Amino acid sequence: SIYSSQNGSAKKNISIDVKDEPLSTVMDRIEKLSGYSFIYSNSAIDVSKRITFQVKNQNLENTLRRLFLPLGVSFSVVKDKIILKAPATSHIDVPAKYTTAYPIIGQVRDELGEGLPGVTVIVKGTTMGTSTDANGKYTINVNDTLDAVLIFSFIGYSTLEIPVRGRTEISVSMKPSVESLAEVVVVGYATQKRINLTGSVSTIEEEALESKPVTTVVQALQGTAPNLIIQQQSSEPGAQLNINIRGIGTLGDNSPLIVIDGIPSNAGVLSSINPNDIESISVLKDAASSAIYGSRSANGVLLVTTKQGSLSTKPVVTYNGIYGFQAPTFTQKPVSAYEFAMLKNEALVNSGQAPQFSPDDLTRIHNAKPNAWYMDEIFKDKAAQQSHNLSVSGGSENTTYLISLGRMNQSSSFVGPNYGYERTNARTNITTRINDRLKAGIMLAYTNNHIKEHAHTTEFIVADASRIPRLYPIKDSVGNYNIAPTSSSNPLAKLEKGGIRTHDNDNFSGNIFAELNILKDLKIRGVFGGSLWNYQTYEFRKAINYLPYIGGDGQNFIKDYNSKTLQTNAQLVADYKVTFNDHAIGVLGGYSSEGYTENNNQIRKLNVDNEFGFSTSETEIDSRESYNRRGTPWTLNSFFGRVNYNFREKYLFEANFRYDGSSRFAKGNRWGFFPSVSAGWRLTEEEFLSSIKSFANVKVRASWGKLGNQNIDPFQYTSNIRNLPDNLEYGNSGNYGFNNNSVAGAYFSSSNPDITWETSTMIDVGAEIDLLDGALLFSYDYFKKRTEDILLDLAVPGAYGADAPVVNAAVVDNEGWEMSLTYNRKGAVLNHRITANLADNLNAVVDVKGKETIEGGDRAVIIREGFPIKSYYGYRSEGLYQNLTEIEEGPKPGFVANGAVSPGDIRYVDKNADGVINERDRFVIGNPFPRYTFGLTYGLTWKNFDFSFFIQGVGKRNLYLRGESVEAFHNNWENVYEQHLDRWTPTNPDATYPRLTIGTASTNNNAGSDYWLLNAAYARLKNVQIGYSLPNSLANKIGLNNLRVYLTGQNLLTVTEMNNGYDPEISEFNSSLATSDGKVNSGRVYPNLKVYALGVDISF
Amino acid sequence: CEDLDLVPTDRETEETFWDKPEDALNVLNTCYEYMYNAEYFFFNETLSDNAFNKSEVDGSNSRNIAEGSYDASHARITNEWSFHYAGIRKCNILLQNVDRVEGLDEALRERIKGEARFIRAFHYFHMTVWYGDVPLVDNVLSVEESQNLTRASQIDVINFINTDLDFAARVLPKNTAYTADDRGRVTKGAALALKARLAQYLGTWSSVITIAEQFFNGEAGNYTLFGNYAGVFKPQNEFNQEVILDLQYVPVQRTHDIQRFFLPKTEGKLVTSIAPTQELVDAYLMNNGMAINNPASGYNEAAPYVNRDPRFYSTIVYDGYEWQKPDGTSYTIRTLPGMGANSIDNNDASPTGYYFAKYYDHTADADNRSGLNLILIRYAEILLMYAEAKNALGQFDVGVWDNTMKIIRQRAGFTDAAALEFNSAWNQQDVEEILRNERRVEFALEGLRIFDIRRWRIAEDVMNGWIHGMRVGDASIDNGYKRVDFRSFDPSKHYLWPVPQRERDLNKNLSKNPNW
Repeated sequence: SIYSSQNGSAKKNISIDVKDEPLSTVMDRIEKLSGYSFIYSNSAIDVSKRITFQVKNQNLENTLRRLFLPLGVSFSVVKDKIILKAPATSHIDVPAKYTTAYPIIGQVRDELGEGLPGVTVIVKGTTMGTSTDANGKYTINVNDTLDAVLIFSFIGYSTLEIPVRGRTEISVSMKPSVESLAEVVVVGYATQKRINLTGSVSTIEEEALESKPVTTVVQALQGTAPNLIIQQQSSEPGAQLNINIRGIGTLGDNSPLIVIDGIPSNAGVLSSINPNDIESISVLKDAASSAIYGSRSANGVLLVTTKQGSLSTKPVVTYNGIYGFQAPTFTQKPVSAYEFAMLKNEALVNSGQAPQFSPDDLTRIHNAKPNAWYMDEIFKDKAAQQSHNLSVSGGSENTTYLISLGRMNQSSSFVGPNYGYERTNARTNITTRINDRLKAGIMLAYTNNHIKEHAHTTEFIVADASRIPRLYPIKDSVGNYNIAPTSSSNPLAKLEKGGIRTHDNDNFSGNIFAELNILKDLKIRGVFGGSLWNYQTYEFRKAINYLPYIGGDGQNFIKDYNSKTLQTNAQLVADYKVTFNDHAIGVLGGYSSEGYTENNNQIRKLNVDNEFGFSTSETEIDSRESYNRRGTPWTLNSFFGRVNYNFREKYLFEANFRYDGSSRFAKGNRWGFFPSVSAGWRLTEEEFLSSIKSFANVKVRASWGKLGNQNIDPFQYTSNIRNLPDNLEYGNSGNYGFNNNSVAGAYFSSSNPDITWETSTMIDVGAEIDLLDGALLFSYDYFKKRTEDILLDLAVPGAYGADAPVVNAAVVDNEGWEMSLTYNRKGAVLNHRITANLADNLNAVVDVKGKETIEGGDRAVIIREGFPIKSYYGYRSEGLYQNLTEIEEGPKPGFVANGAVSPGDIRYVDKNADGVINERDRFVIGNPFPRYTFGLTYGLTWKNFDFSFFIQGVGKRNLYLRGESVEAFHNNWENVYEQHLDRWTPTNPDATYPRLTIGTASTNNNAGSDYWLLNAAYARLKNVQIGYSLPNSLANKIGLNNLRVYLTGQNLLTVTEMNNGYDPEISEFNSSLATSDGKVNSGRVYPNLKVYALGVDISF
Repeated sequence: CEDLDLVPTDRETEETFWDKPEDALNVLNTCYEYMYNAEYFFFNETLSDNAFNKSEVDGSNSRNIAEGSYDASHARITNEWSFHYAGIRKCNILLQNVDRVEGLDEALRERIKGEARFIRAFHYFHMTVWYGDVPLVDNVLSVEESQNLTRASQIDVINFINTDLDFAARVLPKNTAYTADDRGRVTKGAALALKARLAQYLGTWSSVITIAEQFFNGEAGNYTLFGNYAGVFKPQNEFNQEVILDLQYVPVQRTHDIQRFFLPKTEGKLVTSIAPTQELVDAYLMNNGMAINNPASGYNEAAPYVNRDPRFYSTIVYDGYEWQKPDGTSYTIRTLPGMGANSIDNNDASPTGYYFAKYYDHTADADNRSGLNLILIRYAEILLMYAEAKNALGQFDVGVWDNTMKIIRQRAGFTDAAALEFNSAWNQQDVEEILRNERRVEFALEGLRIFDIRRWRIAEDVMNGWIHGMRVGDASIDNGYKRVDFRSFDPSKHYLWPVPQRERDLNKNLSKNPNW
């Protein structure tokens, strides 16, 4: 195949439309579009012949076939040259020493049984060769009829190798090669043909990332591969997302290992990378594919490959730009001011208190119709978002280069002084062949992330804004910030006057490498790379003057934080491949050494000048939050290897291992061995299937392996002693003091010298089926994973007197499946492409040494054997009490004073039937894990138009919201939303919400129960694009290769059952399953955004 | 090839620790830090009939305990168990290792042990008062050991506390023997005072008397009442001669933020959660020494805040109170309905119409973070303990009165002879009633009331039924005093907190308390 992964430009499709023009014109066009040049003899080919020729969006192979086959011209591609040969059979000169030869004759037929002309036939290991004639017939001489092997090759068809075995006549049928059969996939430390893979690997090509108005690659990945689950805790500009492959296997960090151009990196680098720089992303899912990354691969691996230039290609300049606007999607729907006043009175009366609003008040409100809504005041209707990317790529005879510059600017939707996220990316990737044996290169990327935000806490700004009823204006009639009841501050004032916080983070990532071919089949590769981060955070919170009102926010301070982290990696890899007869063997072995250091410091000054922040006589250093740390270094040394073997690409076997030593564990517990074995069987290579034409490739495969996880903080094997307290509890903060001078403390961390790796044992069975000559690709995988020795801080008795040390204690099972489907239909006019994926997984805690952990208050989660990790735990509701008789006969809630409930209150199931509702009546009521995650992309091209949409969603998921996000008048706050209108009253017994209450009277209904568990399944129209490309002829006239303009939209439509104004996509957990208590689960989040944008792609 | 044997370079590990005197002192500092905390100190008042906690969240939901609707999973009850054992572990780490430290002056080594043993005793004192029988831990436990502990009998716990306190009282300096830099450390006086408190709880009155006399004769140190009552709790008077033990705070560097919960809404700037009850307000005598329910007292329900015990005005904020702002200006607090941010009918304001003024730190920062020390034991308590002991033993007379009640009332600001002088007509029960009421108002918002009503076994009387706010309601219900919260107390079980469910889940050897 001419498709090698290095030839980036060969993937660019060709469109030509000419009528009655010389062949030379078409060839010129192809040269320009492909970067390949033609070599031919004028005597053999008549380039002045006038032809009519049309191709649309075809790759080079197809274009050449369509052009030359009708002309009877054969062609072959060598490096970046296309060599054309005259139609006649022409013998290659045979060296004299082979003159004593035995002739072999035969015919080559195509898939339809017709003779195939122009097929190159050579004797393996020699330069002896010939081509078939117009009837597909050939004659060739071999000097050894026993061991000789003939190789039949033709562009667009699968190459055949046929041993002669004493025969004198050999006729063969050639099958068209399908693109998918030739596809090369990036795997750990190497590349491999997809058909030869025995592991489970999903590949995401650049097309899936292009033209989406997203700000990070991670956002673009959502829905693109089955069981690659992207969730967000916040949509705020610059917020990090959770990345997860195949669900949750550990109670600790579930983030996959991220490897960029072969160098282990981190999620921060991935979310900062320029999406336009990415060529492909491989998602390594099972043990077969990931075990070579050993101790960090239990959560899967993402291999990111950036783009390269192509050899002997003229410079191609590409510009991609998107400009658009973002608007909030989901926000709470408040009731009107009048409704609020009525509901408040109702709640107060229901709670045994006097109504707040008199009839006169109500009349006044009804007439005045105040309709302030703080959420509208603090969020802009639209906020601009744009990105621009400029790149130049190409190559000389020995050197390829890619230089790119990117700039992204996302305005925050918060009102205020230009809040937002800006990113600048620069990259240069250069590879050069020093000689036939030695290749070297460098890849360097620089990123600057600049985030400017308010100096306060988003959760409280949103909480304050969404809890204020429409009755109260955000500013009074003369422009002072108002302080509404139940609030001590004003969210708009915080945004406009409360100061700023900026994050200015610089990253250098890259690697240098050299590759030496020691022998023809043996090469060694040395790489040194890493990632350097410099983080700088500057926070200047200003005191806000609320006069004439009485409010808080009176404390100003300046905080300056600086941090530098460096992650380095040196690798040496030897790769040997040998093929003899029907056997192909590959052996890879390597050594890798990684290190990480982190140094940071912070200073916080209180009582500074409120305008400029300089120190005054009042200024004090806050020693609680001022420090210098020389962080948490870790190192990892590893040996790894792979052996693969295949027999005629029919039976495939592979084994991988990694042997890792980590500084995170004490001597003796430090080294871990992680092996995997896998096998595949390509049924299409068997005779019974090879005869069925429509099956291009059918493969079944299975794998087993052990993977590790070591994502815990360093130095947990020994007790560390720090001098500043790390937890501020019980109303206290800071070190103790004597005589009003603070004194240092000594805080012993809990430790366990015996900790070691978490180990996941994973099996995977899968199948890949390519039908209809590769137009339809289907794959399915089933997996089961058991993770043992999970590191966790198992609950210890209070009498122990310290935090629980980390121990290798738990066992978790995880099981799931995934399927994906791609269908390409290239019609005469319309081209369709559908890709779809669907996946499921669910974990279950198998063993936590019988110790249950319950976290949280009204919203509780439990770690209990037999149930998913952090399942929701609470009472089971059974409707609302309708009358006093039901209450009389019902169980009494023990947590309510005197067990007093009223009609319209929630009734709970008395699990142990003791007449009292208490902790012992709690159930596991659900879990937060997304099930049946899916993605569906449909693309259509028609003439020069293209259209696509992308739907992503979750088929089943629970989300537990608490506090003001579900309750009216939560904790005496005044929030009431539209969904509370359908509350229980004697005349509305079938209400969806209990009777309205306030304060203590709400105790029963606010208890954690499945009443507040929401169905967060959704389907979301993630992206829609409509584009138009200028016809090539027109583009060429104005000196361009390509010009495409498009309209695109993100998050335009969502189907969900959730109706309370919260986005079903938000996750309350981070990738360690830690909860941001009071943020997401209380609905205090920056809303998800929809984006409309206009984009343009230009290349010349 | 990277080195896998890394060590932290910015902190010590257990391999490098305990090689210098500072190490022992730093661990001791941490013992002090965990001795007690501001949340418990202030929210303890809401466990009693003196105050109401409006919040379900702040103060570990102490409201539900006061209401009697709680079980073994209650947050405060779960957390306090662990809190004390965390403090005990720190003391045990120090006591177990301090002898290893080289270069430590031997006298200092003894003092450090004394301080640590006092703090450990302070923890066990609270443990046994709340939970009764508790596991006795005197060394650094392994996880496995902690999973198999059993509860020691209360007698053993008390003996353990006694032994620690005797040691502390023997080795610790008097308050006068510390240098100024050491102000805030535990003294001989503190050790003796805690011992007296323990004796008082047990009703071993002779011990109370013996220890009190050590204070009177200077053996325990040099203590007197501070010149004026309000000033005892002001930041400018920290370390005054009345203070026997206080929890240290340092402006900016170590603060607590609890005052925002009990100050008037306009000053605390947050939702009020600690509110004095009408019952506490009613406990303040008239300035003639008579209770308000005495027809001769001159109390006028229509002008209830006139001519009251002078301590009332420095403790309670009521409708019409003149609030002194940090900038020297004053501001009238209005708590009647419809009177603005501090009104009883404002959601965020005190539901009783009262706030606390005591312990207001005007030097706190704009977020109400205060560096004001919290007094855990003060000399007035020794005086009232002594009086109580004398009365309990039938030895109360005018001499005891003059040495205890009279000077406390004088210092409080009473001038009327009827309030200051002993009335020989009083019998033992009259005196008991006077002394108990005196403790209630003298120590309001100092967290002692909940312990007093439990040791006096009067919780079932005062913690049952409605508590009230000011008189703003329907006169036909409770004479118009606003019902704020209904409480119930079951004497068959509520005198001891349940052993936390969490602990019993993690250690099958822990037994339950009666009737839980």
